[in-house]
Amino acid sequence: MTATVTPPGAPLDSRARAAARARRRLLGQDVLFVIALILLGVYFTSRLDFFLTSQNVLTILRFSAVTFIVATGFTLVLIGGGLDLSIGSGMMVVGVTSGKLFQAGVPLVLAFLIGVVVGIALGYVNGFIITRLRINPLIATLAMLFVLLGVGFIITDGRSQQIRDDGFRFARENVGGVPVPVFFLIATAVLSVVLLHTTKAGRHLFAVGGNPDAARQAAMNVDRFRLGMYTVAGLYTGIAGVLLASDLGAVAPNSGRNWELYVATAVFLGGASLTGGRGSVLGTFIGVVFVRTLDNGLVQMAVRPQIVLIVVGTAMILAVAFDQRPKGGFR
Amino acid sequence: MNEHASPNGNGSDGSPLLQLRGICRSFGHVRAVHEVDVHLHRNEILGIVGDNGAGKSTLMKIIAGTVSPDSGRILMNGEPVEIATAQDSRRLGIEMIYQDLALFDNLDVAANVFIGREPTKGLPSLLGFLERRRMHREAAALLERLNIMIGSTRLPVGVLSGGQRQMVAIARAVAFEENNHILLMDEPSAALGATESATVTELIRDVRRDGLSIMIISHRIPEVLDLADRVMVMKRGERVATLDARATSVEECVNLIVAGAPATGQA
Repeated sequence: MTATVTPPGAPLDSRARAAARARRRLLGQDVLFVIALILLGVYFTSRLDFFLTSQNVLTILRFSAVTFIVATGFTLVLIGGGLDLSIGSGMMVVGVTSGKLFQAGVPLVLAFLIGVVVGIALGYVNGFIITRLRINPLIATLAMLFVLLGVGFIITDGRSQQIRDDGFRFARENVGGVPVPVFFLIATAVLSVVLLHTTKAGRHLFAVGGNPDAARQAAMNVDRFRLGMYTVAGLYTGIAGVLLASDLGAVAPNSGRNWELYVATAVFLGGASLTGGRGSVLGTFIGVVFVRTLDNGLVQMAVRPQIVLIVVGTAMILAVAFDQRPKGGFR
Repeated sequence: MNEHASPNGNGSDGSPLLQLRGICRSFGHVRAVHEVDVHLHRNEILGIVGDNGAGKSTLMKIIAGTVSPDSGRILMNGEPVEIATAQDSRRLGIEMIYQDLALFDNLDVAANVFIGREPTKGLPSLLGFLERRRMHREAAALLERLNIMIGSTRLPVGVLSGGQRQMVAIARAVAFEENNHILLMDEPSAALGATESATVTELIRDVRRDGLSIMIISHRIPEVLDLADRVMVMKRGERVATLDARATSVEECVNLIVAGAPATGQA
């Protein structure tokens, strides 16, 4: 580091100022981000008659909800120093499993519960491959992305099928004018914040991701912890997969495609980092709303889907570039 | 097993606090540590010096349980003990501060002090709720007791200076005193400037005064001679000599480190 010869007994106020600076940095990032989101909204509103209607805002929120749930799982994994690219395929497999079971006559709630359990199992498999077989998470979950894609095609014979409703499409319902997935969003956000910031597990997640070697020296079992972390992330994938299937009302082997892109972009925009130990539920929430707003506005402006992919991909690069900008004198 | 210099003003009745006998450890063909005998008295500061690759760090890691010896015995208070893992070592009251300090830059000072030993309420184990206020209160009291000047226990460790980081690492190692009596330090002042180094040295004296027994690896011979009661010189994995820090000189130490003159007494 720079040779800042701060005597250890440095005046308290210089320390306090350092803290204030650190806080301002973090806060500044979130605030900048919210401003960007507002500008984006203003732009779309000026170009589109329907953009700022309660109908459309609810649509954005509905899409944001499912994205947020899986993105929060992704955030936990990143904080713990991992990575999961298999989320999109995972959600698809969860969704088609629930859909097929329901079509085969399994009671609704049971079909959904089994879907969630499948999500948890997939998370465990990811964690097992990464921590026990010692395979880099990027490679492990990229491979799983394709494996699960194949599994989904086998389950469905590669065909999409509508599902008779009978309650399956509960995610399309509104309660008190609010889409059902938004309630899941709120529950996920609250539980995740509690988990991350008030429990020992959350504290250890930041530790394991921030400095795995130090975590080992502090007598933590990093591998076992990460196995648990991927399994918990699988729970998020499971819930999101079930909600996505319910929202689509279909068994669709092509659902969940490109979700890696949207989720990763949102989460990196939200301040999480590939190097581990950093990330927040609030940042991820703002990131998700940003990405979904962008997507929604561009689609309504009749921008071709290919272009939307380019825009979102570029946003991801910008987010990571912004995150890695030189931090002059941070330490 | 008795010898040269006796620890300063330490009326050691019976066996030393920690004893290593015939410790060997090889990595492939390299004999990192070979037939090393050493002991540490209660409330003593033992310096370990030697060139790079002399086996100092390996020896310390063996005591800390992160490297296991190929052969040899470890005794505490005269009783043989098994140190197979870092947990074993901790349970015996041994804390090691590594050269890289093993701090979490993304966590605040209090979180670093309590990491892995957070007091919780409610559900057991990992799902317990952190007693955050208590941790900040106790961490602040600890810093004050050790005369460590850090503005707030809420500062992320990543913004602290090198000396402050070293002091947080020491504070963490001595935080749980009732079952903690041996502190192992690998190059505590290597990365520090003169002022910070002096402050850290002062802190080490303070924690010894609090009753700890300390082993220190250092390249700075004058500093070690000033701080330690005895100094062990190592070369190519073997103990060359153990000297009374007050009776020896920088020249003698350097000569032993470079030339590896035979030890007076047993090898």
